[in-house]
Amino acid sequence: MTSKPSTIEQDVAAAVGEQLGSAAQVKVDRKGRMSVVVLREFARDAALGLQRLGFDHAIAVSGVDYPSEKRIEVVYFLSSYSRDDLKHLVLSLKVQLDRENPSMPTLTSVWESANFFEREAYEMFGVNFEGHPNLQKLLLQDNWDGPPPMRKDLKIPELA
Amino acid sequence: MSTLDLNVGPQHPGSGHMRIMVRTDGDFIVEATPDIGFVHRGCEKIAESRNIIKNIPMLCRPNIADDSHLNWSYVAPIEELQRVEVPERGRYIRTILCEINRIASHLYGMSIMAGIFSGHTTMYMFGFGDRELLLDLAEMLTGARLTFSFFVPGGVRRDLPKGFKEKLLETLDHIERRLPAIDRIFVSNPVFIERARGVGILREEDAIRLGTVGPVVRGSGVRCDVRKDAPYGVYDKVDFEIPTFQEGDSLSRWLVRFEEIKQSISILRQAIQDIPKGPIARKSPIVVPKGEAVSRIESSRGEINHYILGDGSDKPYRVKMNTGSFKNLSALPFLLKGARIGDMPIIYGSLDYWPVEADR
Repeated sequence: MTSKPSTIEQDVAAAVGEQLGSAAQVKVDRKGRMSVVVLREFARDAALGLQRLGFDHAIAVSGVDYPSEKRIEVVYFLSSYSRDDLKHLVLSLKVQLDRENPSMPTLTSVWESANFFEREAYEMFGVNFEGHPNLQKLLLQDNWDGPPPMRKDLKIPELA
Repeated sequence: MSTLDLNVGPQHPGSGHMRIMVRTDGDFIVEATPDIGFVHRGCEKIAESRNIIKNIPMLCRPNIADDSHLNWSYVAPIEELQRVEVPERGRYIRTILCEINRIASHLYGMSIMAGIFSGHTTMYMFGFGDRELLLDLAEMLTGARLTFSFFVPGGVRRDLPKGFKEKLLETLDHIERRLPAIDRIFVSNPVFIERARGVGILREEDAIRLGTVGPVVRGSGVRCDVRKDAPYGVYDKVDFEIPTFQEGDSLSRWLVRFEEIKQSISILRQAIQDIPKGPIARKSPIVVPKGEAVSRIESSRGEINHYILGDGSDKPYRVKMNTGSFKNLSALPFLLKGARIGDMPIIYGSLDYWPVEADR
């Protein structure tokens, strides 16, 4: 299922590389899938650049916990409705955060569609999205006072 | 300005529990805040501690009206990581089940909106009666009416049973004969049209900005469908259209579903005619190899994605489910703002929102 990367993925990769230089690691996985890895300092710049390229909405946002590497990754999956040649593409913008104090500027001002997804990542992984318009619990009960449940160190005895 | 806060729910308005906190000024909604999570079950957390095969039924349950799409979306990234390709006959059978499922789900959604939320009991009876025939087909193929859990990494569990083709074609003919009746009683019915037209308008730019998917975004004039944009299964081998409407109101969203049923009938006829002989599944290892993959499947409620990370064991390291209802939730507060309280049910119904799928 590895196919030769087609040109549009390479074009996007080149544009991102030009804009962010060594601050971003760009990788084309296959036709229709590529990723951009950045540190939190460059998240907003990367987002604005990708938005200018035509990535007009976030199809999803996911947190991932890597306790052994002491980091939390927030992945924004981006795609486009307005540019036909990008419609087949899912670009994952991965923001690397420190696990002790995971905090990054919100990207809801760039993609409003990330709003509820960021709230979910906030309650499930404890990621603080600075400047989020309404950073409150979404799915969890109001009285939940345990650790962020999707972190790997929360073990559920019944499931062990 | 004196406003009144209304607490709508938590209740089961037609497809699961959710609550909307509404601030009203007279008859108009000033602000609406959805409060979800009443049916949150921690599916993603549970999935991390279970074998990938045992996960299949659990991860399909959040939307029993759309089981096959959630199923496909979950197994597709695993297959990608395992580098297992589903044989062509398997892909045809998956497409057939998914389209049967789509018609059944759209009939359900249309019935709930027109039947429950706007009080046309006849539509409810029409939709649910005809949907039963499609569930019979699904039962014939999978053994279950709703909870199929039919797709496993590598293919499908069973081949088409004897007499399936005849029964499918017979059912499609019947549904097709019924569509003009639905058209006559609802689509061309001034009472229903007046109830839904111009209510809850979502313009194209807002639909894109809010990241809505499926019939919601297509009802706002955006021509997009994963089945065309990034074809999977055998959608690149069958001929079909993407129905869109420009108005962006509740009626358009309802009509998109109505038109999509016709397209699904056409897809099913082509698929059952062209299906090749051959194996239905390939052997696949019961491990998720190290790596990550994300799927894109066009479910009845729009594009869904499963983001799966593997660490080489038989359990996924992380499963993120992104469902159509959760994505379309962003449109709800936007549409309700400024609407009349009396229009709230029909706007909610037009999104075909499925709380369990959103809460997971």
